[in-house]
Amino acid sequence: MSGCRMSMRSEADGKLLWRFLMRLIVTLFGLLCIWQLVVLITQVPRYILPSPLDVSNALIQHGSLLTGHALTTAVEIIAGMVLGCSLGLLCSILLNYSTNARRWLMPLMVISQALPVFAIAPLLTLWFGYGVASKIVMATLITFFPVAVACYDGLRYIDKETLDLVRTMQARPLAVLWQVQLPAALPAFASGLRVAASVAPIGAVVGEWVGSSHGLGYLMLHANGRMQTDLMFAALFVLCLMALAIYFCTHLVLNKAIYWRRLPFDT
Amino acid sequence: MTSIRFNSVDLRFGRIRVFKGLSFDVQSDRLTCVLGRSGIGKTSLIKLVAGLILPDSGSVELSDTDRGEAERGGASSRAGMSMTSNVTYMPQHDSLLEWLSIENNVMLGARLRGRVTNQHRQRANELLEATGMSGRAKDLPGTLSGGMRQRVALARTLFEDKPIVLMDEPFSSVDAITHRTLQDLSVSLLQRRTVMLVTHNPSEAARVAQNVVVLGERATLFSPPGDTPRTGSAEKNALDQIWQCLGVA
Repeated sequence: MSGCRMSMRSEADGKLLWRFLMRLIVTLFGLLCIWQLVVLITQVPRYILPSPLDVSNALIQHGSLLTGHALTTAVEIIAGMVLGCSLGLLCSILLNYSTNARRWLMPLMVISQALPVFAIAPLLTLWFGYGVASKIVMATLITFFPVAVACYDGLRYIDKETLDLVRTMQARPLAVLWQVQLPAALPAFASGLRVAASVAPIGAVVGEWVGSSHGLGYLMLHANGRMQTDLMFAALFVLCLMALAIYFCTHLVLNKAIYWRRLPFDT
Repeated sequence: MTSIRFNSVDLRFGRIRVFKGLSFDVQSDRLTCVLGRSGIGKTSLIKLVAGLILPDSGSVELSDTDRGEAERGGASSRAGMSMTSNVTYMPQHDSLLEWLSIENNVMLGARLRGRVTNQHRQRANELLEATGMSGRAKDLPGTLSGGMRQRVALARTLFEDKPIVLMDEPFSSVDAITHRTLQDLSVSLLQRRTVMLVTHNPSEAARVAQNVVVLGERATLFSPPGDTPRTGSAEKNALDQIWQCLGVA
C-alpha cells in the first residue's frame, strides 16, 4: 500500500519537475528573444552588449577554455559548501548542547556575518594564496552561517513532549541525537542548505575576482580587460547553469533524505 | 506490584505555586484517573512520577511491594535519573517519529538503548496486532489517521513493559467513537499495571477508572464501584459521584 503511494508520489514529482523545466525553458527562450530584438533595434556595439547569438558563438568557440575554468569554480563551490555545511552542522550541535558555547560562539558568529565577505576577500587571498584554497575558504564562510543558524533553530524547536518521552526510555544521548534530534532538525537544516547552495557560487566568484589565476571569475575579469564581452556573458551563462545544477542536485538529495516530508519542485 | 506515594510534595514554577504539601497514594495494579481543572498541575504530577521534574521539597516514592524495594525522587535527586527504570510515559500527543516506520516507532525505546533483537521485533508485531494495527508495521506514521497513531503510541508504551504507566490525556485529540474504542483497548491491555491517567474529562474517568484522584487544594481519592470499562447505569453512577466530588451537582 505504501509502496503504491510512494510510486504515485514519484510520478507526481516527475510531472512537476517536467512542468518546471518546461516553464524555465519557455521563460529563458522568451528573454533571449527580447534580448536579441533589443540588440537588433538599438544596434548597441558588441563590446557593450553582445547578442545571444554572439554569446552562443563564444560558448562554442571557447568551449574547452570555459570547461577548464568552470571545473575549477565547481571544485571551489562544492568543497566550500561541503566544508561550510559540515562546520555549520557541528556548530549547531555544539550550540544546542552547551550553554557556554552559546554564550561565547553566538556573538562571534553574528559579528562574522556583519563583516561583508567582499571586505575580507583580500585578506583571505593574502593568507591562503592565489590558488583554490582562498576561494574554498570564502565559499565556506558564506555557507557556514545560514546552515548553522537554520540547523540550530531546528534542534532548538524540537517537540518538548518527544524529548520528555525519550528521557523516560533511558536512551543513550548519542542515539537521541542521531535518531531523534538530527532527523527532526533535518527540514530546517535543508532550508539552510538551500540558501547555502544559492550563495556558495557568490563566495567562490568573489574570491576569484580578488586574486586568482583560474576559474570563471578570473576568466570574466580577464575577458572584461580585453573587451571580450561575449566571452564574459558566456562565462556568466556557464556560472548560472552551474548554480542551477547545484541548487537542484541539493534539492533532489534533500528530497531523498527527508522522505517523510517531500517538497514538490514548484514550491 | 508497584505503588506510588506522594509525600508532602511542594512544587513551584517561579512565582507560581503548583502543589503545597501534596500527599496521597496511588494503589498498585489499578488504573487511577487524575482529574482537575486546567492548570491545576495534572501534567506536573505525571512528570514528577516520571522524574522529568523534581519537587522543591517532599518526595515521590515508587514501592515494589513484591520485592520490598523503594525508589525515591526527592528534591535532592537529579531529574530524569531515578525513576525511569520503572516508568513508561504516554504524552498528550502521539509523539511518533515521522521518519521511522510504525514498527520502529513501537521499538523506539530498544533502538535508543542500542539493542534491537528479533525478540523485540516479534514483540512489537504482537503489540501492533493487539492494538489492531497489524499489516501496517512497515508504513510511515504520516499515512495513519489520528486514532491509528494513538494505537501505535499505546503499542509503544506497552513495548516498554514497565510496572508503572503514565498517560497524559492521551486520547483527547480523537473523535468520540475512537476515544471510547481506545479507552476499552487501554483497559484490556493495561491490566496488572499501575496506571496514572490524567484527564480533564469526567466521563472518561467514569468509564475506565478503578480509582479517581481529584486535584484541588488537596487530593481527594475515591473508588467508584463496578468493573471497568463501565457501561450503562454503573457508568452513570460513577459519573454522578465524580461530579459531586468536583463540586458540581
